[in-house]
Amino acid sequence: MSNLGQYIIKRLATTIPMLFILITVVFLLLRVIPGNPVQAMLGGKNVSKELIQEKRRELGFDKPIYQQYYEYLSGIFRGDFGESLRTDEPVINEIFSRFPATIELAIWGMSIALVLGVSSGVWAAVRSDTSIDHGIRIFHIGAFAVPIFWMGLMFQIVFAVSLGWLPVGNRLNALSMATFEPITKIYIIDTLLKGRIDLFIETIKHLILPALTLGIIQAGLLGRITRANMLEIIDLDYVKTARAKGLKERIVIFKHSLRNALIPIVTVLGLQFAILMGGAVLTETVYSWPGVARFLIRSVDARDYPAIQGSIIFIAIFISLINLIVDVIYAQLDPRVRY
Amino acid sequence: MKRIYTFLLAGLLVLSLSLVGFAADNDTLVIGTTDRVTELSPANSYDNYSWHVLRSISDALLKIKPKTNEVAPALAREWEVGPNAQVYTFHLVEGATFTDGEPVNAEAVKWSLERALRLDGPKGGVGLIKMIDKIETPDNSTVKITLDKPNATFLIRMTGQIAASLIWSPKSTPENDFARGDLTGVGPYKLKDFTPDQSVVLEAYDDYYGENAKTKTIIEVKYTQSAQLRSAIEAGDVDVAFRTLNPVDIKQLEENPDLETQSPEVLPSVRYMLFNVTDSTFKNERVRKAISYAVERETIVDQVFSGLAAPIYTMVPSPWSGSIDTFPEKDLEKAQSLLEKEGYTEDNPLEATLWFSPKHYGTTEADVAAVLQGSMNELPNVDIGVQSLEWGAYSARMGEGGFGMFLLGWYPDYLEASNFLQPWTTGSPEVLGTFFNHHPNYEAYERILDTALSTPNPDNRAALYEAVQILSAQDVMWIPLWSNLAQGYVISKPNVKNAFCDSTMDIRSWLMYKE
Repeated sequence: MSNLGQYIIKRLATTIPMLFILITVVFLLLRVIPGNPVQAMLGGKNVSKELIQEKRRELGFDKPIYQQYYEYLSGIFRGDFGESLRTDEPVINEIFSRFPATIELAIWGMSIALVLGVSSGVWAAVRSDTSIDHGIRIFHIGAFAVPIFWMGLMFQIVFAVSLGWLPVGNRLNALSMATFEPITKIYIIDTLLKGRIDLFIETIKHLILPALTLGIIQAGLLGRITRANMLEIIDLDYVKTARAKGLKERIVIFKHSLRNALIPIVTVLGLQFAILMGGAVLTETVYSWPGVARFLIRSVDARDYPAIQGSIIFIAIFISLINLIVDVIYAQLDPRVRY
Repeated sequence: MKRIYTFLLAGLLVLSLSLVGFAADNDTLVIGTTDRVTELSPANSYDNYSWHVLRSISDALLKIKPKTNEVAPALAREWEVGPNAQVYTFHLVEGATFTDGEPVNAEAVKWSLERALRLDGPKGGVGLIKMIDKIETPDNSTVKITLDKPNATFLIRMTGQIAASLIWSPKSTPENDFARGDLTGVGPYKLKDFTPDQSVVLEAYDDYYGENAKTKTIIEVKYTQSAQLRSAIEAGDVDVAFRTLNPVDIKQLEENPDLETQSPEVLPSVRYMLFNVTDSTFKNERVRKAISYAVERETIVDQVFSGLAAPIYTMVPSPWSGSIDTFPEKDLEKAQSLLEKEGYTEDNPLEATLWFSPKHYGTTEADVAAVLQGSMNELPNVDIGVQSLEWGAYSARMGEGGFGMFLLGWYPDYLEASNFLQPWTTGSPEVLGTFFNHHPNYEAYERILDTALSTPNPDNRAALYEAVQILSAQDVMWIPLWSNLAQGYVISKPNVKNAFCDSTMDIRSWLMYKE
């Protein structure tokens, strides 16, 4: 087996205890916080205590916690995350049906963050201590500091309500949503696969504001890291040598400096993805985006234990995988790293 | 590089050309809402929006005539009520068919009601028609329903306001399953598509036995919050915005010349304070009565709801037969005097907590609690604190008797006075936290309400409901506070007609159309 293969297996092996701890903590926390999932499931009106007890028994919530935990864990090993108390559907189906929406938004959000963050960071570093640098630094701090829901609302008011350029929320217009049958549920792909250029454009229109909201916040942090790294690197001897050799400034910056500055940026990308998933909770709420994060919020409101547990575990696995991929890319970028 | 710029420019051009507002044609009406479907099952759902969708795709024996409280014919063209309100006979319309083409006959009605009674899902509201003891079909177009005991509210329960009374096709509807949208009804619309937490698509049923739906396709889109719904109607993404916009948003939308606002004349959505009559502090009737003199309604209406609410002094909404104002206006002197008689002084004030749930009834709840706290604390011998719990924890603790004084709200199940009086007294006093079944007057309430329900004459029934309201102002297990009108506001584009919300707390989708 190659070193890379061994490394991946080793990383996956360390992920398992992390997931185990996470499952345990989430499971216990849900049982500790106040609120009765059965009562929330049955609603507050005219529900007798007998019915609540009966449902508790039926769902196993009357059993000792250790027994519930054991049953839940063994279910997970069988790939059974239980059924949502709210929808009565298997939790895993609920998550998979919403995951494409989240991943589509996350990819675009991250792309915007990378493009905006890295380019602004490079520009600020190259124009260090000029008014452009100051302006970009203010943008970086502002972008990271602005609450995501406020930015989302402002974008809606300006671009959807005042200017009428973009839609307020959802993945497609109402009429399109009613008629379009997706294949992969990643609409950018599906609309192209079906040859629906009109819906492709519509999908992009719906993606712009949520992806910008999600991306700009991330861009603030990425931009600051990029600027700091670039400032360090452009003063190093090998960069000066490159300039002295008469290389074009563009090549000095992008080929010789940025490539090395990217290494720490890639390191934080994995963590950024975790922050991005947290941001997705608010972004999906603000833009009525039907993703996993919104499902999680609804499940918390409804004390839907299986759905909360399933969603968090799923997101954790996803973030772990992303981090693994990031680490592999990191090693490719930095020749000093060996598996 | 030049090529990249050209490509980007072309992309931007294509995009900007497409940046034009979405507008559906006149055959399609888009309704935006923040409500959500919990489950499209008449026997296993119990929420306003799920029932709204179910009512769009099927009818019951009777219906509420739009903009009135009158019971009107639907699948039953005529009906007779037995002398003691225990036997009801319905004569069906001729020629009605389900959307699968099957005829609507007496057997289908019997099958459908019995199905609901048999399934009786734990999340549902079948209990509201469970007084049905026997259903007979003397002929193909007659249904005779016998109740387990007299109940004069049965007709109104058969209007489709309660989803369990809706009629479904025996041929195409699962017999022993909640169906969850897999339902074939006899409504003005068919359910074309339902995506949970996203949208509901309704398509007109051309062979509907009544007046055909005025719009071919209705799309109902879910928005997460009032702010998004407001933006959607302002941006033109939806034709109609309904349930629920914040009062502040409504007030500002009313000023928008490009939109029309339909305000409700009355809305039977009531908000009130409840007491646990077994609580160590609030088992004292004088203390409860003192609080009823201390609460401030006008400030809640004006400041918290921007005038989109109405103060109420009884639980039964005013247009309902039997409604009578029985609770007092604010009178701090009387409140103080009552408390002093119970030994509460400045040095020994009444200390208690007002509980509320911060999100379940909208984002205004904390402000409401603050106003109430302020008004009660105007009394020198009172020290009230406020605390909140998220709804899951709140409802659980309420049922365990964990609150002495707390806020709740009520959306009626059926449009009759008893539905505003019974639940907290003789209906579910423990689950709803009043524990009124431990009150010395409990049996009196039980007798009055039982008598009222078996009294066919509406005037006599109304007199009994009035008696309950008078008694309730003496016993003070609740304090009616305000009626929430904001939930009845319908905001629409000017070319949308018949967009209104009446006392059913619902819009009539099939009447709406665009010019």
